[in-house]
Amino acid sequence: MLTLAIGDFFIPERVIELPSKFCKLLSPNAPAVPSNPKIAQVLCLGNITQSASTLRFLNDLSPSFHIVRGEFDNYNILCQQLANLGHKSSNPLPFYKVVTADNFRIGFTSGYQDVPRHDPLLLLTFAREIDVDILIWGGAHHVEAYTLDGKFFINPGSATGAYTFDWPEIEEKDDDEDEDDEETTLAPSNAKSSGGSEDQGDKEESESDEVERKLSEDDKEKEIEDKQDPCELEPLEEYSTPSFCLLDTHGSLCTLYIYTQVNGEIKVDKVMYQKDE
Amino acid sequence: MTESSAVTGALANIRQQSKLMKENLHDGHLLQALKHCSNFLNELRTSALSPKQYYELYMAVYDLLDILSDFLLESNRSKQAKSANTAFLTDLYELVQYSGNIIPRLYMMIVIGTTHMATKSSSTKEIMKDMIEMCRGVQHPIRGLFLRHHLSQRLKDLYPMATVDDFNDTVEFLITNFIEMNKLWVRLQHQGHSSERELRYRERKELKILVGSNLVRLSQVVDDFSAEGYVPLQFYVSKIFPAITEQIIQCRDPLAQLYLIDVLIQIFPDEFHFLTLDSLLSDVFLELHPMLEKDKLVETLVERFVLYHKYEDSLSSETQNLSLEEGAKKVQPAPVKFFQSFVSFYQKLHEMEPELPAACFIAILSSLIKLSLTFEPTNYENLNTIYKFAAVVLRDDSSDQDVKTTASLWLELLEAPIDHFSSIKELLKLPFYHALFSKIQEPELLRSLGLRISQKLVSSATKEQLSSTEDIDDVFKYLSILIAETDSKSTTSKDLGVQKTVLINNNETRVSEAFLHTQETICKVLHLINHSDHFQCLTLLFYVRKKYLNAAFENIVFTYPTLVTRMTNCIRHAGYLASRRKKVEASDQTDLMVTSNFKNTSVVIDELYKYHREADSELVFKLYLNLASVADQLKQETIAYELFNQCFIVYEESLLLNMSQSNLVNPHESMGGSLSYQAILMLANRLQQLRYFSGENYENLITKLTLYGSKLLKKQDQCRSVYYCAHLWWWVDPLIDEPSLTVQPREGDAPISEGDNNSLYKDPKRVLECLQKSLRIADSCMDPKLLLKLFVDILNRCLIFNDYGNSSVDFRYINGLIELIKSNLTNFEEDLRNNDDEAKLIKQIQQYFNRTLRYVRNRQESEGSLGGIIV
Repeated sequence: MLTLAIGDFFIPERVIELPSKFCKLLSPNAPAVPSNPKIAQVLCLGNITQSASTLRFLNDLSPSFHIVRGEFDNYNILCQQLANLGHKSSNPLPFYKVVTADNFRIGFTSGYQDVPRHDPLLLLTFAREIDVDILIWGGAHHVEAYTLDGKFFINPGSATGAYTFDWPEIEEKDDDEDEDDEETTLAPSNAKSSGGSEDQGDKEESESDEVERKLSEDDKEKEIEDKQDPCELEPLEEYSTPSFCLLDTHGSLCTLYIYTQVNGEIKVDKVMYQKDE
Repeated sequence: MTESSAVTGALANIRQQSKLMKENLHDGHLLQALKHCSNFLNELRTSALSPKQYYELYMAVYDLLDILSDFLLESNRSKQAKSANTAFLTDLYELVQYSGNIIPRLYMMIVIGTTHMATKSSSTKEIMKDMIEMCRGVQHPIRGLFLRHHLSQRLKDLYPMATVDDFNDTVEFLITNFIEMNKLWVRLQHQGHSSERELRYRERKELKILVGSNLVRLSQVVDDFSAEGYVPLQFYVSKIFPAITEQIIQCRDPLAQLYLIDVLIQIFPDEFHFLTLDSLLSDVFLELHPMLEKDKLVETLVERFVLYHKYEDSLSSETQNLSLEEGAKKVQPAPVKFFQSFVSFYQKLHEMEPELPAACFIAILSSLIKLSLTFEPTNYENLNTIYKFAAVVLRDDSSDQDVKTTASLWLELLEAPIDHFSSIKELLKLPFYHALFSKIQEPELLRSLGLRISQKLVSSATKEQLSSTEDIDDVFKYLSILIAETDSKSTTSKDLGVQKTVLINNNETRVSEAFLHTQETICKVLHLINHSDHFQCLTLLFYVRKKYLNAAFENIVFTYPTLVTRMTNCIRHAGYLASRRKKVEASDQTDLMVTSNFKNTSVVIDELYKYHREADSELVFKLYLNLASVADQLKQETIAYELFNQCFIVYEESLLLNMSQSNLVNPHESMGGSLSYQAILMLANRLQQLRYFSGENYENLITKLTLYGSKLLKKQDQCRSVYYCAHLWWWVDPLIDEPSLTVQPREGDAPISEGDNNSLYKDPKRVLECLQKSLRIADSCMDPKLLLKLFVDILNRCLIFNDYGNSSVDFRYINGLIELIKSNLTNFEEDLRNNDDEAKLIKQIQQYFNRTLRYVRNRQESEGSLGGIIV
């Protein structure tokens, strides 16, 4: 069963539109509803901001649409727009929601109510509280995917590549071998056992910078440049990398497909996660 | 006798007579046969039939005459075989002239004459001339039309074309026949009673093809003929065009003129029209009947040209594929000239008939736009000229009623080029495009156009940037109505739910979704404002706000978030670049610019606060937070401090007692809560990211926030705020790659040192104090279940800090908490046996607690962390 995790649009606050390649990819059958024949449910992590058309686009993708509140959503307006789309519920825009897909309980939240947000231990605590196997959270504006304590944590990044006012990332000065290590922790065979070994101490690393893993050669070159002239500040990127995630679940196995648009081309990466029985 | 029985009777008679004719022919009694032939031809003498019915008779007769013609041809051949110079057909041609009635006589003459012509005799041309002369004898419109039609049908393949002389005679013949038929056709209008005008008109429409077919034949003949020195184009210009158009003008009949001009345009090649265009427009079109819709004629002509251009285009691209040289040779007719021809036609028309309806002029101008866009896609001067004319029409067309009826036409006129161009920047710059736009009074029209323009701008693939105040003016002058117009009035369609609506402004105002969409589009246009220099970009953003966006304060709540977010981002970029440069050369100038931009942006947010304090203070709060975060990242501590102060002000003034959404709060959920609680957490999240504050200022802020948190209305909000705020005393992520100011040792302060990591601000005691405080708050809770839940929440928080190495939150403290929870749980044993909601809730808490303990056990077993905790 396919579950789409997507969020942090910021239309029109920070960007004009969803990348057209994403639109085509996501809704091959538009304007028919549902516009994607394969996706069973859509989980939206909020920050639509003020775009009713984007909301409709997401709503029409699959038979089942779930959305949680993002930091910059207008609760009042968004609730009514959802009602206009037929979502009648006393609270159509909660802070978090739990859905199921095959043997998985999936929780998702924009996560801005966690202080400090994006902290793996806090996310783990929240996943424990609501008792989920997979926790999807938003607001990072880059893809993250890692396992911790046998649970799977996913941040699908920003679908539009909107910028964020968080600190720009510090280029990590790891050696290449270290990166290779991280890569193997994400490989399917290790995913099961990595839970316990990964979390203590070096938290920053355990976030296992997914984006970096996927970044192409030129970023490594940048890194080298950085080493040559450590005083030089990296220029800020105007936008982040547009991305979203698809979860393909079969029983207790979840294959995560990470879609990113780099230099106008769509790249797909795959990460596997096997749930502890 | 009714008409239909008249037809049936006539057809019966024809059948009978024709049967006799065929029998006689079979037996070789030619004269007898001709007599029967004359008999059934007599049926065509009637005046009692409608054109349609007459046509039925004609078709029946025509087939029969074919039989006669075949027979004659056959017997002539057999006679010729006997003697070469037989005058069989000539004699016969003479003979039938003694027939009593003119209609049968002429039909028979034509059959015999054309059969004669088919035998290639020397007298061909005389016979042809004779026949057309004789046809003048029939002046009844329907009978005459069909007779002449019969003549040209019989002659179809027989026209003499061997020499230039022959050709001239043929053309002469065809033109004469055309003129005569047209006269008959026009005269038909005036037959009968005046009350039957409409009927006549319809009948004439049915007959038009008879007249038009002459022109079709003519164009074929012109095309087929070939001789030395003969150029079809020249021949058309010098001979055919004048003759035909003269007749068209002279007949003074609107139906004939409309139809024949159309035929003329359709059947002759485009090259011919290019050459006669001037004359066609100014000599012919202007002379036509005043009732005629000249815009339709122009439209036909332009359509034709556009089609031609498309065809040529695809042709030349094909040939270019084959060979480059050949494609290059293809010369397009000078388009400039014929645009001018149309323009002068338009001017003359406008001069001569200013009282024509506006719709007519607009339609012509629409055609001209099409023409110009097709042939000279980049000639903006043409468009400008057209819009100049349009503005004049609009001025004349001042009565409101008219504008309403022609609204769609105006829209089309202004929209056509929007669709055409990939970039409309140049178009929007045209002085007369805007002149016309600004003359339009209809708000509906302006709105629709403004929206169209902005959608075009933001959806184009190139996303053209607006990088100067002129650029901004060029675009935003078309959007002012969208910006200024509010949608607060309640209408019936809103109230009835016909229009999808959304309540805003604390549910006091109902706006339509369409209105929100418009505001969204304006926001998207704001993204087009850009400049490679971020300071310049900021100047532009302030410009657009001052000159356009604050036209309606009611609407700024929709557009300012985007504007302010863009400003904040621009400052961020500008500041980063400046700090980079500062490493090379000290520059107070840029520092000053960064500072002043922070202040100016803050003023913009404040304006939003001023007008939308009641309903949207949360939004204002978030915008301040963004700006404050960026200020810290750019090491603008004073500014950042002031901005956080603003956040606190908004919090105190507007958020603290805001009860909206409070009905949705479930106290057991660790996420969510009152709006003020949410605001505390948002602030906390920003504060824990600060890195360039002095220790003193940082502590001021976080202490203040923690205090605010502990004073919230509800216990659960207080409790959670405080334990979240504990994180403000315990950094785990350096975020920057240089030492943070916050952890620099201060005078008179004991140096904070926790382990050897000095780059992270950590105060283990304050963390513990916070946790203890939140535990005390939880303990004071009246609801034992909520108390229990909060205890488990705090336990989990303690585990995090223990994990992160906070020595003050040690295993003893945690063990104590676990014991506390366990003993509290035993109090519920009784309730757990029930199966009600309460039991369910307690079970949930218990399970959460058990999961937590299992987690600790796992960690202890797998890596020996969280030591000393007894589970």
